[in-house]
Amino acid sequence: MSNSIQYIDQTLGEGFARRLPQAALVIMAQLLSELPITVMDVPFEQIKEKTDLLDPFQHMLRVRINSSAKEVAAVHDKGWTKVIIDYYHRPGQAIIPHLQEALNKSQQLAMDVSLNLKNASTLSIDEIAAFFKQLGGAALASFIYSDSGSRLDPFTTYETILGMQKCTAYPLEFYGYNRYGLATANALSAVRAGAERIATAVAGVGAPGHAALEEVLLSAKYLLKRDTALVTGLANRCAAILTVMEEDIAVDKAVIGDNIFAHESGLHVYGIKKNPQIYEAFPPEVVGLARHLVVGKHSGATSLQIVLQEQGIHVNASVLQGLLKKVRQTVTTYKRSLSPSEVLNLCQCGGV
Amino acid sequence: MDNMLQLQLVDTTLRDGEQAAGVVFSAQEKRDIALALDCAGVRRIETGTPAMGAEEQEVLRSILALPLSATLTAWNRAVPEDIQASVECGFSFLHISVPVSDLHIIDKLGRSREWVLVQLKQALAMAHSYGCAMSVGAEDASRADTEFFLAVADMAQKMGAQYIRYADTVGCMEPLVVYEKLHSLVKRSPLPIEFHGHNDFGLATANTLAAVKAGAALVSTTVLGLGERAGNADMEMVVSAVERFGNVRTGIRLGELPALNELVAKASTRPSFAKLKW
Repeated sequence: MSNSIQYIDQTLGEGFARRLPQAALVIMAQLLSELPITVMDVPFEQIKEKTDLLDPFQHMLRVRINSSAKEVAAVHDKGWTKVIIDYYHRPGQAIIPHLQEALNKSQQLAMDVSLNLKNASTLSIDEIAAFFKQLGGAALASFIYSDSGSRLDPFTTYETILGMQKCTAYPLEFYGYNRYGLATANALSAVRAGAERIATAVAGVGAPGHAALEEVLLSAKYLLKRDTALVTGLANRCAAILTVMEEDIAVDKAVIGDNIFAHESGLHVYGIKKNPQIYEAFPPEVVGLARHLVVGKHSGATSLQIVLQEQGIHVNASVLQGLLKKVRQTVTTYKRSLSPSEVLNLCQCGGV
Repeated sequence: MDNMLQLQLVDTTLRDGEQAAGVVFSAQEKRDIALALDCAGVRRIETGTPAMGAEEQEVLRSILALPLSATLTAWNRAVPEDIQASVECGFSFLHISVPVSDLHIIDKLGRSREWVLVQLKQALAMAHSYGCAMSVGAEDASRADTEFFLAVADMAQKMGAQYIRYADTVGCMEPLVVYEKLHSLVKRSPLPIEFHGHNDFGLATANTLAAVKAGAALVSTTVLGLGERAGNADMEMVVSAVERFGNVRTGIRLGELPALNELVAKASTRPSFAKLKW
């Protein structure tokens, strides 16, 4: 089994759905194209007037349409070669003629077509198997299993993706959603069950959200031990994309938040200085962030001493206790941690 | 409905939540948060660390004096000073935490597993002598030897602790692994297990759900997932996920959570909790 997971981007599509200005979309496409993603899904409705703009990224774009031969032809006319056909299947019913026509048309035009079964997670594996039979071996680049209603948890995802592989030879893509905060976990379960193509968005952006690209990347590398090629400065790259979307990243956003390598509590700072692994799941350099030790309410004598030593200041134990007390009073007044210069200031006021 | 198991939430917003770098709650904010947690139906509130000093103890006493129906617990290292401080502060339920991975025991503290068991035994005996109820925390359990975790659980049970916390301290598990490990531990542990998840890979909610499905009787949460680094398991997300997928009830009144979330967001002065929008 190959070790490479393909990441299918939903961030740019979200940018289009929000009707961001063209300039913003081009910047997003540029920034996204530098991340370890394979393709970017974009909606035909919103992209059809913007052909030239996104030309440089054409090889990465996959255009999302409903099932009609007319739309397939329109996509082809614009020069795009990859298409996703969205489809809802009603179990027990014949597939609609439109779908067959759209598939025939894309085959005829030698397009790279993926079929997205939007309501897959409402269907049983048997119902999906019956659906495949009706397709009669249509040539698909991939079959997309969508969990549009966030109906799956990591366990049902695993079982389902295993089951899906038994009932089809089509390359399988998994599109999970985040209504219950489980999208990243579901993506990992899909990978563990053998799906190699996973829909993600930077920070999971979208409504109701996707698996977060950065979380799936790091989890695949560190938890599933998969070969994972990371780019340098992942956190900043993600932040830049979100800035274009006018989204803030929470300071504690997993993998890319500003504060995720900030250590304040006495015990944690003490541990970190001995061996960062004690309180870090992965080193900050991996995502281009830096570790910082913070002086705050939960600093202890030892951690305060460590921070002072980093500033080249050495104090004895009794001074340290006095300073610690002043630190606690000051942070309680300010309701935040202290900057190194504020700590130095407290030192000097105390005549250290 | 009636055959659903009751899952106990242990909220640690006031302890692990406040340990998030840069977060400082005022005394009034702590009391307001405790009242709002109680009102939301949280039955266990990890209130703080009395060993931090006299000022903290004063705040904690004022929380203990509130008319709350939740059990208020105090966080302790397994050292006599901490137990003493908690008892003097007026706590009657003590959570006593020990490191259980060799990384923490040897690399961080320069001690041995035997030392941990001795410290724990003494601390539990002391807490028991004061008539306190007790739980035990196993720090960094996810990177520890399973047999040592069970040895700690055995000791905890013998000394009268009510349950043991399995802490995924650096959030380095994924749900299928959580299920596998916890499923076996729940069968072998003499005490009920509390799962304490962190969000370093964005998996805290899913891991907590996995632990519940594997039979954990209690789970730690914080409001908004506030906590060290990428935070803890987020109460609202955990409640939604376990009630949807875990076949349990939490007794949490979801209608109270928006106000609670807002209170904690404001008190933690974190300008951006953007992740909530997604």
